[in-house]
Amino acid sequence: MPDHEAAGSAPSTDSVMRRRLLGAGVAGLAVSLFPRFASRVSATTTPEESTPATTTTAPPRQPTGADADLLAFAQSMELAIVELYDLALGVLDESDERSVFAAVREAHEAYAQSIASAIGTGASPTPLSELISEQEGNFSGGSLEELARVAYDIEATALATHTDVIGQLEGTNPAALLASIVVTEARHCTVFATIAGETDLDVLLLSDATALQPTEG
Amino acid sequence: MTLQRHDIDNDAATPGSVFRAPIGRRRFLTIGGATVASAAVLAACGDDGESEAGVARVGIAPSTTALPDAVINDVVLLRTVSSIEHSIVAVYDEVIADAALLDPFLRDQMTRFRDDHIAHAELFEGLTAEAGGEPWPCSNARFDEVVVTPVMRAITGAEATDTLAAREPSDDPRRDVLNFTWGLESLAAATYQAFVPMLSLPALRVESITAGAHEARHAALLAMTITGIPEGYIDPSDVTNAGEPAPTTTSAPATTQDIAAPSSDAPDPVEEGTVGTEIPTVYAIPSQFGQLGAIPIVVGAPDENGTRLTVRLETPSLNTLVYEYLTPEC
Repeated sequence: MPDHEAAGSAPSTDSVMRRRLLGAGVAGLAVSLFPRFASRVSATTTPEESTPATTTTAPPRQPTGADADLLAFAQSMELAIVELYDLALGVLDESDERSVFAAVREAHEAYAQSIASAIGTGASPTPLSELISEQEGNFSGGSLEELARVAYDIEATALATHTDVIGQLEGTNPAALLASIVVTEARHCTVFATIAGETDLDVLLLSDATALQPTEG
Repeated sequence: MTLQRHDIDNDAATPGSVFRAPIGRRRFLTIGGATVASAAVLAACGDDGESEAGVARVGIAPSTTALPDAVINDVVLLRTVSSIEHSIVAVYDEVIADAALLDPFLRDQMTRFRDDHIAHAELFEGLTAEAGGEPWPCSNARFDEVVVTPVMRAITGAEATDTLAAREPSDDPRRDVLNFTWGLESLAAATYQAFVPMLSLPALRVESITAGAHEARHAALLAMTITGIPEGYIDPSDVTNAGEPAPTTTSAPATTQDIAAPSSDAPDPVEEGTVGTEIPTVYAIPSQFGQLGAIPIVVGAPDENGTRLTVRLETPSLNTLVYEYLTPEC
């Protein structure tokens, strides 16, 4: 209460002294801090040596809207491949090679699931019907070597398609996921080529399959 | 109690009061303001350098040159994969030329692998130049130091150096060479895979994963050569997870990992009952997804405890990257 009364009346000597001291304190503080700020500025900029900074934009980590469409296509291809392997498993006798077909089928199912999780809630799993109708005859019968050869072809196609999609993706996370799939599908190719009896290094190590492309609409 | 103190303070302002306080409110503010001002003046006059240098000592401080800023960009990643490719090419050059290290039956295959790596190195050197960087035509010094040199010493045997102990030759150099090259191919595949999300341009990501897929197929072929078929096709755990019976084991091929079997010429230094370092079994399809974890390889002759050299191959990290400030010297 006494302070309020004092504020309403003429300033006393004490109050003037207090304001001067407070003002001097703030000014002193500002002066004391100035060298620190000045040194920081001088440490971060060296006008003589500096060059114009390159403008860079880091790619997004999460899939963009366009990425989601590409991933949905990749997922539908994987689901179709699962169905094709189901056909092959229906005609293969029990053997070590059949176990490879079964394990690879499981891998493609895992790929479809992981791609779906990368897309998010909008993922609608539908197998790529065109691929199934084109390949179901090849996977529905034949010898082990013949089935291994068509499995090689479908793996090479999946590899080429995912590689193509990686080249179009903006998000780095889905690109990393597809990269981990491509590396393994490449191994699938070599194993199926071996089961098919191939010894040509060009077949075992390379494939020239064409990437599948999503149809308009 | 608070009310009583206010009453006393008001009384203290009254001249001649018997309750005069030792320091009044205004006097307290006056002293406080003077203290702040003094501190500010002292701080302004002080020198940061002196306060941070600590106590003065006698002597001449050596001048130091700080390393340039290490920025990881596309050029650094492209130079790094080029360097790894050159390191792998050097290993193939060494083993292809030595029949003691490589079965002549595999010479054509290994030569093909080496040529593929040369092509990859040239590809990424070209991409480095296109990205505005200086191509790296040399091997990776750090990788050579911590991986290639110790492993090759363990395989071929070597005399002691200033920093490395003497090594006896491996009890089975051909087996170790296959395992090492399998590890190198697996590492190359993992490196290209790991660099995909780190590269800024989608076109470079395609180049990286295309090369990675190629290396993975090298590794798959080597795994089947090492472990044999059908055992080497796929990790049995993936087979059982698929609801299939585990692969049958037929007679082991000559190159199957079996450290219990004594090698042809060298005496087995492992006493009966001693558990030695297990050599990992390798598979053409080791997992459902490409893995980026450490790749263990076991090489060299076992010591008196049965312990062999174990090296864990890891994708290039900060100390293995070929930064832009590095100049190739090879």
